[in-house]
Amino acid sequence: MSVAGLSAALLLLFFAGWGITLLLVNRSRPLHLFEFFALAWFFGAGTISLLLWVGGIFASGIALQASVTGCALACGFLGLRRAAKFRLPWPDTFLEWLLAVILLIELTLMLLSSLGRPLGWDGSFNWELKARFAFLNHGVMPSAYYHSASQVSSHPEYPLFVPYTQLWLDLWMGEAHQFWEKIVFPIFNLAGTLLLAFFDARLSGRRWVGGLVACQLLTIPYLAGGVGGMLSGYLDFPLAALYLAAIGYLLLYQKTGDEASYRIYVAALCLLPWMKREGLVLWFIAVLCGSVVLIQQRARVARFAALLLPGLLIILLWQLFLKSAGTAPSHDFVPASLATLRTNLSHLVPIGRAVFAEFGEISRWSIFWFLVLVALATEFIRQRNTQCLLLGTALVTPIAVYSATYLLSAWPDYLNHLHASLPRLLLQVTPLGWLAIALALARPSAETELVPPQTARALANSKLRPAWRPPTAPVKH
Amino acid sequence: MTPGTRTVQWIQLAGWSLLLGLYLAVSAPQLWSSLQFEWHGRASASYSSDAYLETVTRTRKASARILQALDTVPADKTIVLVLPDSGVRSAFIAQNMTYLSWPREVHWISAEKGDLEDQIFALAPATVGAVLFWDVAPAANWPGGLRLGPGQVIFPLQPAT
Repeated sequence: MSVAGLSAALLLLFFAGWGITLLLVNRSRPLHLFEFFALAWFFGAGTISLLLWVGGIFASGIALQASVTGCALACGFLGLRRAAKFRLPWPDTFLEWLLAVILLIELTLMLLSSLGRPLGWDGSFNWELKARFAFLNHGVMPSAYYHSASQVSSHPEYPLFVPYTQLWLDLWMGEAHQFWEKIVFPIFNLAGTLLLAFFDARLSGRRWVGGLVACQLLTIPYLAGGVGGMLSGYLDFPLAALYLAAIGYLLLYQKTGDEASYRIYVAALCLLPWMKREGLVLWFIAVLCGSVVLIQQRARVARFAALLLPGLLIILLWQLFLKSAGTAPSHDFVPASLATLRTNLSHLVPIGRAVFAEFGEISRWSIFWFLVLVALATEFIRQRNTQCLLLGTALVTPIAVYSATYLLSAWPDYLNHLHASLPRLLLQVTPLGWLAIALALARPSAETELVPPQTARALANSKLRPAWRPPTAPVKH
Repeated sequence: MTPGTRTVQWIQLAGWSLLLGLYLAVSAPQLWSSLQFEWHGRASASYSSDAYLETVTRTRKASARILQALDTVPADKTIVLVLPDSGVRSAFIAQNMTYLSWPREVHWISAEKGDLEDQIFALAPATVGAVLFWDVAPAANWPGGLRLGPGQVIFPLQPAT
């Protein structure tokens, strides 16, 4: 029963995500199977979890499950009407085959290791716990949970993207099943890794760079085996993958003008604050990056509004929900005020020192942050373009903001707070770090080498603007 | 492409190969340890809870026994959890009990903070549904407890009639 229910839940989730992805792409270009899988997962899980949350306000039990199933099917069938062409990037050269085999082995080990290990502390007591409580209460988070004295440490204020994705599996399995619920994490990890390979290949113009960097992602020691890494059921890597999707599609849009990429960027953007509390920071930074592109294009105000409003709506609705449920605010930070900042200003230097010490923590990061520094420096020296600016901003600003938040720490020792959480927060930008490395690794003339001269001439002479312009550095498919 | 540009490209590629090789050489020993894990029995519904509780009770499938014992406790009652101290291990046990006991509240008291009976009776007796002693021996005058593991005894409390 469990496995059959699990399969039905996953199929419905992917079907909904498939439909939404096809609606976003709208037949404007062929879909790469890697990106399609990752997007179907992100948008399927995001939609199902949002539907369970909103639907749970009005219904529970079988009525809730049936109505969400109906909506998922509707999303899928709507997408079916916009059927797109798919492309499977089959390896061409010996190097590509080798990298594909290595990546496959790494992903298999990741899957086995994820399933074999019990969830980590946060994975169980912050996230899976919510799925279990909602399942025991007929698919709806019990209102008593939000003001329960003994549940304060499970962070009732955290959003429900992943707990409600797990709840969806539980509803179909007919029990809160700790083992099979864990399957969502390897899928997030797989989606993030495939998207990284896709963006690296598309933006660098070289497929082997995509394969190489995707293989390297899984070798960051903290990501592979750390407390908050991809095997423990923490949400920092899923959030990182979603942030990569938002920024990656923004970079693709900025480079190619592909409207489908812009729509996917906006859709990924609005799921960021629904995934995790820090998603709010990443949402703000990704909106900032998008605004830079829109300002460059002298876009209309309506386009800025469309960028801002979906995410803002989710943020406001969630805050309103927490307020109406009587949830106490987070106990980890004190409210921001000028007086507090002035009092804690002296913490700035020790915080800065601790952050730089973390970058150099070889046992957790190897020399990853040094590589990122070299890559960013190389790109800035070589390119000095908008892509560089966007990638640099998206990579560095979250680290700066997260470091600054320790000025508002409510822990008795703010440095203990930093040591307990900073490594996990840094994980959220590691895929972007690898993207920067991929761009620096690709040789400078990759673009000119890969654009067939006749294609470039034809595009330059064409009076017709195609619905989707190929990137200046197309990748062989 | 000029020969000069080609040379620069090869130097760049060699530089990055060196850096990535160094990165992998440093990562590899750490990665090996992350591959070491053991399966905790079959793919059960209490997979993670059983694995956690095994480390603190030294018994297998402990969550099923705890859930069965809690079945008799009304949902609106509090479970008093008596632990030896306020350390990390005790916090971990308390968190597990909070997870398994829902929708019952869990009130955690520490044996190192003075007389246990005083602490228990300081709570409103009508709200307490059970007292669970975890690695703490209950006083001899506590009648008829249900043993859950080597160091865990639960005393469901009947409402006074």
